[in-house]
Amino acid sequence: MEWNNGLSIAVFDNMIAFDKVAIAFSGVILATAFFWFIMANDYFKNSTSSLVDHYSLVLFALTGALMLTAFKNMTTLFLGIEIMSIPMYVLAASKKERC
Amino acid sequence: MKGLLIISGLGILAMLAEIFKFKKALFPLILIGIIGSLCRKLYGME
Repeated sequence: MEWNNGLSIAVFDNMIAFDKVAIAFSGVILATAFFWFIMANDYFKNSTSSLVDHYSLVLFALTGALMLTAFKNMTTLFLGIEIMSIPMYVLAASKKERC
Repeated sequence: MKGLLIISGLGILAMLAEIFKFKKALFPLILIGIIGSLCRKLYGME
């Protein structure tokens, strides 16, 4: 198991590295996303907005969040922040009923 | 890294589901993909 070995798998010329910290935080983020998808299925049942749009936006934000857990370079940190935040801007503005 | 690729692929699959109209199969696929990515990260198969 990777956790016990203490190894760090670096990819893209050491711009991203999966070590214990990255695996731990990735696990927390993925578990949270798992429960979000289960609850969202019921929440958006009676909604007029498209469920699939919300799913794809959350999945792209999840990708950015996973990059943020494993960065080793400031460029990767910036990319992760941008990839995570831009779908969140769209999600934040997507609630049309209350406008 | 493979976990990141799985999640990115799921995002693209979600967009394709809107085009090719397989929305009903999307929810279980996403859940399986997230569990697969989680297992891949935790059990050191990177």
